[in-house]
Amino acid sequence: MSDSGTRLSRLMTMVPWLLAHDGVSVEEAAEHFGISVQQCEKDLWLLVVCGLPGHGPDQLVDIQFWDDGRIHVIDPQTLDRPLRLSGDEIMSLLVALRFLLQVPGAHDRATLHRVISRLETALGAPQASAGFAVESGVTASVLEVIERAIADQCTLHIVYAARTDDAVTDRIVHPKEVITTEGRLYLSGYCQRAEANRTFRVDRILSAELGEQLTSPAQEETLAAEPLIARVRLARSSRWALDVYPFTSIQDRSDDGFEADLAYQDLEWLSRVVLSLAGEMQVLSPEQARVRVADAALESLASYS
Amino acid sequence: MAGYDPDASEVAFERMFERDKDALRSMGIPVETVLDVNGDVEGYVIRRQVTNEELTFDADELAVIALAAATWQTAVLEAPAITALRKIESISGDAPELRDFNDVRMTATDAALLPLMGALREQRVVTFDYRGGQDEQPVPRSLDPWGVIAHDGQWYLVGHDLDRGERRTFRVSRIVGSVTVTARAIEHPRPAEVDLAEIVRGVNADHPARARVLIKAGQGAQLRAANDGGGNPFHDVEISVAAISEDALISQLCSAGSGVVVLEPDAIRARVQSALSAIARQHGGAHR
Repeated sequence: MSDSGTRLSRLMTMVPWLLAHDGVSVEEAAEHFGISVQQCEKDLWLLVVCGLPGHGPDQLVDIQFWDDGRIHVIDPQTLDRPLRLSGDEIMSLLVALRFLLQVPGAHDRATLHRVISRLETALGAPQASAGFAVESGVTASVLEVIERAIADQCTLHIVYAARTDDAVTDRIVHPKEVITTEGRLYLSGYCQRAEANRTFRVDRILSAELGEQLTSPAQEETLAAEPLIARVRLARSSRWALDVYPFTSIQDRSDDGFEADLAYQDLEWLSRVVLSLAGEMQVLSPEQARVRVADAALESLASYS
Repeated sequence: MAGYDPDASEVAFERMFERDKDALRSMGIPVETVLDVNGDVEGYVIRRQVTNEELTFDADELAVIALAAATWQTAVLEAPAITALRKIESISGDAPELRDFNDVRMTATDAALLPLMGALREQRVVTFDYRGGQDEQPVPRSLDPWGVIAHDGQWYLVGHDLDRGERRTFRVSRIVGSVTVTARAIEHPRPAEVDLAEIVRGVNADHPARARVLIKAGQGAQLRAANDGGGNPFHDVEISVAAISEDALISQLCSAGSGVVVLEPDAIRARVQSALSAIARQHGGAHR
C-alpha cells in the first residue's frame, strides 16, 4: 500500500481507539501507533478538518487536544467504528501466527490454532493464504526434545549435519536457548566435543535425545572470531553466487568475470564453497586458503584413481 | 468531484478513479459495483456496515496476535500487521504487554511480497521482470502463482510459468522493479500433490539429473539430507542422488569432496573428476 494509503488506514483506526482511551496524551497515542509525536499531531490536525459534504462546523470530526496535550474526541462523526480488516492485514497476521506454531516459546499452541482458524474464516480464502508461508524446516519431534532439555536443564545428545565441513557428528550439548532470526532457528549451548560454546541450526539436527540432569551452571560465553577475507575470482557464468555468499568489493572484469572479497570464518567452509563452484571460482589470496582448496581437490581425486 | 483535476481528460479521470477504488479496497473498505438493468456499470456504493463486529478476542488470543504482529519488525508486512492489531484492539480492548516470550524475527524486505500476497488471495496472473542467476538483463515473465515460501532466509515464488508451460521457482529478491497483478484469473492452479515446502527445500524425487554414489561414514551431510536422509549417517552408504540439473548435481558432488565417490554414470563421474582436477590446477596443487 502507498504511504498515503497507510496513513489513511491509520487515521481511520485512530478515532475508535481514541474514543476508548479518552484523555490519553499525544505522546502515548504516538507510541501506540508507532509514529513520532509530530506525525501524531499532524494526523490529529488533519482529522479535525475531516467530515461529511457540506463541511459545516457540525459536520466535521471534533477532537480537542491542544489545551493540555490530552486527547478528547468530542464528535467522531462516522469514524467511531474501526474498518474491516483488509486481506493484506489478515494475511500478514496469519503468516506470522502459522510460523509461531513452528517455534518454541511461552505462547500456547491451542490459542494459536483458535486465532488462526477465526482469521481464516474472516479472510474467506484459507487455501490461498496457506500458500504464503515461512518454512523453518524444523522437525517437530526434535524441537520438542530441545525445549524439554532447556526447561529441565538436561544435556542433549544430538546428531548434527554440519554445513561447514559437511560431516555428520554425534555431540553432547548443554543447551542454553533457541534463537529465531530471519525465519531460522538456532540452538546455542556448550558443546562437549568442541569444548566451547557453539550455535547449531535446528533444521540440521537429524535427531535429538534427552541426556542426564545438568548440575553445573551454563558455561561462559565466548566471543565470535572476526571474519577473515579471501580475494577470489568468479566466472561470469556463476554470477548468481554474488547474491548467495557474503561478497564485498566486487569488481567487474568483463570477460574475466568478477574479482571480489569473500568473508569467511572457517577454512573448511571456504574450501567447500570453492569446490561447489566446480572450477568457476579461484582463490587468489590468502596463501593458506589457496593451499587448503588445492589439498581438498587432490584428496577428493584420490578416491577415483 | 473534489480532489480531481476538473480539466483532466476522461482517460486520466478513469485512471485516478480506478486507483482510488483499489486504494479503498486495499484498506478493507468494500466498494460494491452497482449494475443497471442492462448490466452496465451504473455506479459504486460503500455500505455503512464495514466493521468486523464478529472478530472479538480474549486476552490470551490478543497476546498471540500482538506477538505475531511484532515478529515482522522492519519488514514490508509490518505495516499491515500492526494496522490489523490496532483494528482488532479497537473492538476487543488493548493487547497485554509482550513479555516472557522468545524474540522471534522474520525478514521480508522485498516490496514484491505485498502484491504477490494479493495475487495469491485473488488467484490472479502476475507479470514481472526477473534476472535469473545466469541472466545479464532482466527477462519479462508471466506466472500463475501457487505460493510464496520463505526458506533459509530467502523468499521463493513458485507457480506455473505461462511462457515455459511448466512449474518454475523464482527468488523474490531477483524480481526487478514491481510485480503487476493482472485482471486475468489463473488457469493452472496448484495440483493437490505438489508440496511447496518440499520444492523450496530442493527435496524432490522427480529431479532429472541423477547419479549413483558412495557416501562415506559420517560424511556427505548435505547430500544425505537432500536425498531422503541417506541411511544411517555413521555408515558407508550407496545411494542414488538427484538434482534439478546436471550442473547442480556436479556442484553438489564436488562440494561433498572426499566424503563422496561417484560410481555411475560415467559421464557424471568424468565431469566431477575433471572439475576437481581443474580446481587443483588453479590452486597450484600438484597435478596427477
